[in-house]
Amino acid sequence: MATEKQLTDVLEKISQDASGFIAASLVDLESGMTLAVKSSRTDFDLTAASAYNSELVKQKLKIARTLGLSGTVEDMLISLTDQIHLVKLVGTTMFLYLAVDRRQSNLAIVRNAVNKHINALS
Amino acid sequence: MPTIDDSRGVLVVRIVYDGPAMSGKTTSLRALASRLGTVVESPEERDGRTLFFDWMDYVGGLFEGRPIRCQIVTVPGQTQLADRRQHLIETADAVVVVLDSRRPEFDFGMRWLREAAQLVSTFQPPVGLVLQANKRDAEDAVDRDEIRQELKRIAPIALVESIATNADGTREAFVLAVRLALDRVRALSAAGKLLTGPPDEAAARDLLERMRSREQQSENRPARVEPRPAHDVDGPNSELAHLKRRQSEPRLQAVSDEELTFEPDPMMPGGMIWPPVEGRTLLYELCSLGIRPSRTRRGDWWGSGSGWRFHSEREAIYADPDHARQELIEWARLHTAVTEQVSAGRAVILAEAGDGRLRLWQLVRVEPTLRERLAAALAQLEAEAVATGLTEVASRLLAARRRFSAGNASLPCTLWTVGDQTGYRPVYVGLMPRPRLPSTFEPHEGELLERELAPHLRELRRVRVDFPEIQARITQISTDAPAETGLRWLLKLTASL
Repeated sequence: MATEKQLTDVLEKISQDASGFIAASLVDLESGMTLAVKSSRTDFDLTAASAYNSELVKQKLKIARTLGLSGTVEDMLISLTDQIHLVKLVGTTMFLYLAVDRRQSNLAIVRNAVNKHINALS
Repeated sequence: MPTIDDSRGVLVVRIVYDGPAMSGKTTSLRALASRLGTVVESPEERDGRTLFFDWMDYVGGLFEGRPIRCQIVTVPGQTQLADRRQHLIETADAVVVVLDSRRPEFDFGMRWLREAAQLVSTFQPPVGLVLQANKRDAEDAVDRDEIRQELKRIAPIALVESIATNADGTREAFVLAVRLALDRVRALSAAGKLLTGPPDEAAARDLLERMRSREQQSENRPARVEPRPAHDVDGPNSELAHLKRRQSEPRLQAVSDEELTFEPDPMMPGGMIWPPVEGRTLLYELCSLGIRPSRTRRGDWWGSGSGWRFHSEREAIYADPDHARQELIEWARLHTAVTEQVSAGRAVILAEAGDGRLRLWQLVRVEPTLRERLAAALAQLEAEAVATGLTEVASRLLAARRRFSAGNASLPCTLWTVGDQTGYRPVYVGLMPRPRLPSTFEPHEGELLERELAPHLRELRRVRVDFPEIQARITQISTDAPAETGLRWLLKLTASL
């Protein structure tokens, strides 16, 4: 596993490249515990968001298994009226959670910022 | 003991930070608190030293839809407060042992770790241990490999390196401990023993009151005792011998279109590892060794190196997760049935094999065998040394046969599968035969010795001009120990060549 410093470095780079960056975390899928966090807003409860998103990912993986889908889940996108949330699986045990301001960004920017740096953890 | 606190809708677990005085427990907790946005309470301190405990509450993560409330507690590290330490460890669902890894402190730290391992060894379900080797930035910090070697002699324990003063490694150790605690919760839940209701101590003051009241009642105020010497912590009779360790990165890599190969992953989901807690700590150790299994001609998967063996039979792949789980349970039952007869350092796991399939693996720590003992004996120059070695191997082999046949499983009794642990009862060190195999008990003592030793004895007779003297020595040893039936068989065997 990468160290917390390595994980934080990746989040730092993503925050610089993703315009409208609100918050991001790298999360242990099994427990929902954060392994590294980065936030630009104090009112954004990243701990809770990370934990509940771990349930979301687990449910999605369960759905994929139930449907017998042969492909693997790469990422999940949730569009809010004012935010974009991206959940990107990193290996089989960790995921990245990223929230950005939708007025200052778009999906292409978000994906590009994530994909550019996330390979450092593979 | 973990509990589902329905009034708050949370699962409560306790992570205890153990370690000698000045090893960095409180510093680790404070570093963690700053990262997690919470605070540390220290009910009583004197000159900056913890007298009872440090306490930190943190709610994070989810377990089956419930937030996890972690009560994170440090023990007082001063040896005269050993009773308080022991009491706190007894309440743990996972223990992080923080040790100063600098050379002058290392031996004392390892003794401390042995004691901690012994303390938790009797808990059921097992309490996982994480070693947080602290002060890694020091020039005289002990090498990581040396720490691992020491850990092998103690118990399977996950190792995380840290520099608590700048928080490096502290979160990693904590998250690993939480996962080990959740494994314990799952085991309790499966046994119908997971408690519900508010925790016994909901806050630092509750724990402080309980500890004070306990000390007053017992009149045994913290005794001024040195840490108790660890005894028999690595013996096969110790439950500790069933514990395990370590960590890394994504674990599946495509080797072909057909199947993904396995790489140990300590963060794999619960329910896929047996034994649940120790298995994860063991994977934590294995993942950093870089062992890559490959396919044999028969179609099995096989990997070895750095003192470990991985094996998966060709057929041990399952498209149906329920079927795979059932098979894992069968393997767990098999291991449990022969736990006294087999070596420690084992795990059975279900790993993803691609396309939604699961492959069952057994992981076994390599132990010295009688085959190696025999080879060493036959290489001796003195006839007496050869004879002594031969008789020891023969006695041990037959003792193993008796011991293995007392169990329910058919454990093969060969030079390669019987361990050579001097002073202990013989244990099975080979790969576990798969469940539901028909029982094939080993042959009679004489036949067993002939099968295992005759080829070596024939070779010995061919290359050693002093073979008659070796025979004479065996006769002498046999005469001196007439009750040892194995020696009589060996004598017969050498005479019949």
